[in-house]
Amino acid sequence: MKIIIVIFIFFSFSIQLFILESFQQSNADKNLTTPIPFIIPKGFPEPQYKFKNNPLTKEGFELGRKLFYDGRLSQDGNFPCASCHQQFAAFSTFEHRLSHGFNNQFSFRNAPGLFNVAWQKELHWDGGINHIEIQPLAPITDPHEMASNLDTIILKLKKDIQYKKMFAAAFCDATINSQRILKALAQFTASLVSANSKYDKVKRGEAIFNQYEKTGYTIFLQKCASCHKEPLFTDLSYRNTGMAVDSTLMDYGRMRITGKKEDSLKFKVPSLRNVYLTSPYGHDGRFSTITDVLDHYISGVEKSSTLDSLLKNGISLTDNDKFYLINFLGTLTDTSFVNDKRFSETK
Amino acid sequence: MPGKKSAVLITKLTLLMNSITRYIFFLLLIAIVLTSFSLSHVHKRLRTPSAKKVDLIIHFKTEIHSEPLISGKNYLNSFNEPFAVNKFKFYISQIRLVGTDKLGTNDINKEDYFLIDFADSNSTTIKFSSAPRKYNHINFLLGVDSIHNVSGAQTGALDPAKGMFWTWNSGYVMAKLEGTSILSNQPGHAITYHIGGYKEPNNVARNISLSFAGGRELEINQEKKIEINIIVDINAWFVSPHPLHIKETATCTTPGILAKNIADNYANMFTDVKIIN
Repeated sequence: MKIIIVIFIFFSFSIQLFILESFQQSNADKNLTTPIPFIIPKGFPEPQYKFKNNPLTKEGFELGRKLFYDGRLSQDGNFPCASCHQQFAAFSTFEHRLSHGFNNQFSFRNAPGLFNVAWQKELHWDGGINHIEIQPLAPITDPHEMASNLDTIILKLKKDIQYKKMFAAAFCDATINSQRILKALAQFTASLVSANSKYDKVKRGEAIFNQYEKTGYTIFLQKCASCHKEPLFTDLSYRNTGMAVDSTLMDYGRMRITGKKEDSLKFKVPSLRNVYLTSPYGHDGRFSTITDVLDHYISGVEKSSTLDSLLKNGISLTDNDKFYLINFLGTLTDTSFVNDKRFSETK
Repeated sequence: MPGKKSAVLITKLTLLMNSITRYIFFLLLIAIVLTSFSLSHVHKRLRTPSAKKVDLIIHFKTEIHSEPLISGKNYLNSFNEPFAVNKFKFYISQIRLVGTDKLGTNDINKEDYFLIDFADSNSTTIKFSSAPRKYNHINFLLGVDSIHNVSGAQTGALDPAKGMFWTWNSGYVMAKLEGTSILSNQPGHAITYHIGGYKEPNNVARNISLSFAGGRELEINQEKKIEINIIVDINAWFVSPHPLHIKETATCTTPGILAKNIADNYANMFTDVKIIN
């Protein structure tokens, strides 16, 4: 009998523990999110942004996606992130030197395409932004762009039941604050990975370059690849490429951030991926076509004390070289990326 | 016979029932005891963090030449330059007390950031619980350490919605002084000092170590709350080691040498620490 009692006591105690544990567990289970893996394309380095303290989830990504396309993030409702970052233009502004912003104003610089942003240590043409999560603060608060502020945005979002649900799904409870808005946006923008162009397929052995593209690739490796380094097609450095300062913009690039004379007129090397979709080119969009850019390197480089040493004599390219190069650059267009429904506005 | 048999059976059954009832009762008793034990345990565990008693209250008192700061009122700095203040904020963190015994320092709050804003009386008083010992210094970081300047979206006192974050050149404004002076050549005679920068050599975060007025010791014990007043004198922004004349420099809104120099100055703004009780 005693044994039975002992067993009973033991049994009842286990049940107690089990009930307690499951009670605690069920509290945690309420906040179940669906993790999404972040896949690093073959041959790519480790990304800069690793979703530390911001685990990538379906719920977080979808919230970020909704925010990215929501005009309420701007003062007058007309300028969501997507107004300057259009998917069909690889998330740059299609055929605009500068982008339109609040109250008939223009942005200060040409909107860069948003792809492979997770690999960027610093953002913007001058590298002024040190972390992907806080980048949206710049366009949101810029009086020429979205012209809004965090408090106003939070008030607007709190009025929307849909957002309450989505914040609760992504972050355990329905609290809406700036950190959550920014983290959700980072989940979306860091997920914009473009690595499925013809070039990538050639590298993976799934396609082959035609003769023109192949010749262009050889020229690219000789004349362009030291700055537009594979596989990102940028080495993410800041260089003065001999573009004379625009007297209306007076933009000296990286010097504005570091305050150092030696950084005068230096801008970040842009990626050449999707280059067919991201015209016009240059930090102020002064080059309408790829041919214009190549012509600049051939004969337009303006000398100054901070000019990049690789461009002291410009870049020598024949008309044939240009033809082949442009053919090769066409292989960097990632149509599956610009048509990817995951990145489109939710209907 | 069958009647006797059934009587025996009934007796046996009754006995069995009795013992089962007893067992069940016994088990129930154990269950109740265990439940209450484990519940109280869980309860205790949940309560522990907030159970710590507040025993140290710090008030930041903003003054100019020993006169309490009033928004919009004109004061003179050490160079006899008139100026008025309408915004004055700064970050502190890593607050620790330095003990007089061998136990050394005691971190009373290592993690949190506090935005001290003279316009918001809630922010100028902070409450802690500390270890009951004697201390002769209070140390803290004035500003935001470099890690928190490069770690993405923050919340609490470091929420960028607090308006202490540069959006186009990432980093925190670690201290902010705004106002007017007729000597300022800026629009609206504004004076605007937004001091930030986390990169060396122009990092403006400063480690501050303050002793208590009259060389007193701060004795923390569980019996009563200790309150201290830290006097913050804005005049220090202008004086030394890098004299700042409003007439020449009414604006600083970027990291750099000027910001670093102003931070060297305002690192001296905590002029007194008075133990009230």
